[in-house]
Amino acid sequence: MRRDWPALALCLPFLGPIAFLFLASFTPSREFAQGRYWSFPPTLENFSQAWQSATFVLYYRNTVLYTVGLLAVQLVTVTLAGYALARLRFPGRQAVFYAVLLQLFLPPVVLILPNFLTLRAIGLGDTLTGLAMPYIASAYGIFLVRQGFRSIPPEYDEAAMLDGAGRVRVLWHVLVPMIRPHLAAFSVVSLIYHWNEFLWPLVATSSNRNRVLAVGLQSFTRASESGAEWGLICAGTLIVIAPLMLLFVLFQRVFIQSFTQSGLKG
Amino acid sequence: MPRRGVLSTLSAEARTLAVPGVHARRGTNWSAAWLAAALLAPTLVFLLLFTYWPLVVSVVGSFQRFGRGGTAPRWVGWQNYWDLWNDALFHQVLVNTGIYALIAGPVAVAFGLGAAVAVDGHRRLRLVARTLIFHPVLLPTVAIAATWLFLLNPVSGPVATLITRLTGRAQGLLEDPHTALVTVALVAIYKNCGLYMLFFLAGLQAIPRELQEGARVEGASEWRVFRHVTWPLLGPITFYVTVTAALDALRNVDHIFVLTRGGPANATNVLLYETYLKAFEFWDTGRASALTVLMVALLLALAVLVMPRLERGVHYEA
Repeated sequence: MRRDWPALALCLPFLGPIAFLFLASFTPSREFAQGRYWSFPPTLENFSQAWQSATFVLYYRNTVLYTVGLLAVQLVTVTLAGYALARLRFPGRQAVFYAVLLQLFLPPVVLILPNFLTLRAIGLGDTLTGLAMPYIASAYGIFLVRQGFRSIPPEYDEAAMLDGAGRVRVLWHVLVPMIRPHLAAFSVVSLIYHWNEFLWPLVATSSNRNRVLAVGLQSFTRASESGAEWGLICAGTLIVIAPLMLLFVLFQRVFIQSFTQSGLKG
Repeated sequence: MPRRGVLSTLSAEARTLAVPGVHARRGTNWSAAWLAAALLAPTLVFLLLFTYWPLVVSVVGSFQRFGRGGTAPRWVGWQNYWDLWNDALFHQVLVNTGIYALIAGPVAVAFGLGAAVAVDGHRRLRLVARTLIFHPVLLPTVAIAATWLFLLNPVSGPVATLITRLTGRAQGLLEDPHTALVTVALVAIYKNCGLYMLFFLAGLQAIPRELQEGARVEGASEWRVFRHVTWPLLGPITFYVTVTAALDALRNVDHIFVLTRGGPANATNVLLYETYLKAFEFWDTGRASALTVLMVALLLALAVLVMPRLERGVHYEA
């Protein structure tokens, strides 16, 4: 126990904010000025008011469409590209690999202006499809999947191909099942990243119809801040983060392993 | 392509882990090349359109002035850059970005390392601590910022109240130009350091226990074991985490939109936020393009500096 005190001391600053957020969301805002951050019995008025003043259901729908739709496309593109870079020999392979890798340093969030102009030019401004487009080529995903393929001994492919299977069949029936953990890790990181994303969606979509959660929460916070409606802000924040927190509590190991893998470079 | 001996071909194949198939002996295997082209096509099309084409758009735009109301842009040469050079606000933005990155980066890395050492192992309490420190990584930066906006508000925020009680004077940390930038950086550290902790934890767990045990048997103190055994072995991880932190500091400004909107008096206005303002609040496409070009130049310089070392230095097979 005594040797655990640094861990305890370091994690307390992380317990405080989430605890206050939780308590305050069940407390009327007027109590805060008296220094009371909880009330008994807890009130749900913040939640009902937050629920009515922002179209959270719509934001949820858009965010799910955006993140899941994008992931489905990404899984195909990164698997194909990762396989090509890991298994096929062709002129310019190294150059292609570096061109992909450089994207890690040029994330779409830095290129919001030119990408906004491109989307507008091709008629996809203010659409969820346009929002997803800059992420369809994913350096991180390709890198991770390539690592996965490279960890499989080439004899596997060879044996299957000697049995008469084509490369595509080998890829689909032999190799892809073997890199499932890599695809799962990529899926978790991609879903979380895009679920939480703010700046590019703020720029890429303009109508409320196409807003995602993070953007909705920001404008909701901005609107409630002037009235010092802190209970309302906390309730809105909790509405946005509750599913994530629940998933994290349930599948902690998966999340932690996926994010750990996101940092491992070969 | 010169014909190579079977042995050297095989060893080259083994090095690249390509499939040693029937075509391995030839220089270029065209069926593999065509297949590769087909498999890479979707990635390359989107990479070109949304990572490389934007560079062209930004460079071209940075030499133009865009009239309001959709009139054709005019060529103005280096005017946009010259304007930035002479702009006191731009100087302040650069200084802010530097200070912000120098706080948010190193402090988050150091905290991540300290936390990793503190929560390493399998004891129940340490696992709980790990979960708590990590949880902000999963949440939207906007939600983290909204929480801190409440905690720090000078009228009723619990943290603001606590600070007032400790220092004896009322403090609006986000309202005071002297403290706003540091406060915004602290919120970013709160959000990010759990991820860096995870990376360091993976590094710690990859170190063979015998090395540390051996040093302890020799009578080294815990600090000396860390300083002379653990820390040197974490070198490549530290380098990787530092690069990640630098990138995060430059590219994540979401919390600024909630906490301060660049204020007070531009005290928290950093490069990417200023680019957003110029592009989408002032619709000054020329000036915003020039800012984008500068940002890209900065990131490319970072990439050129670190990519070779990243490839050589960090060896952890996933």
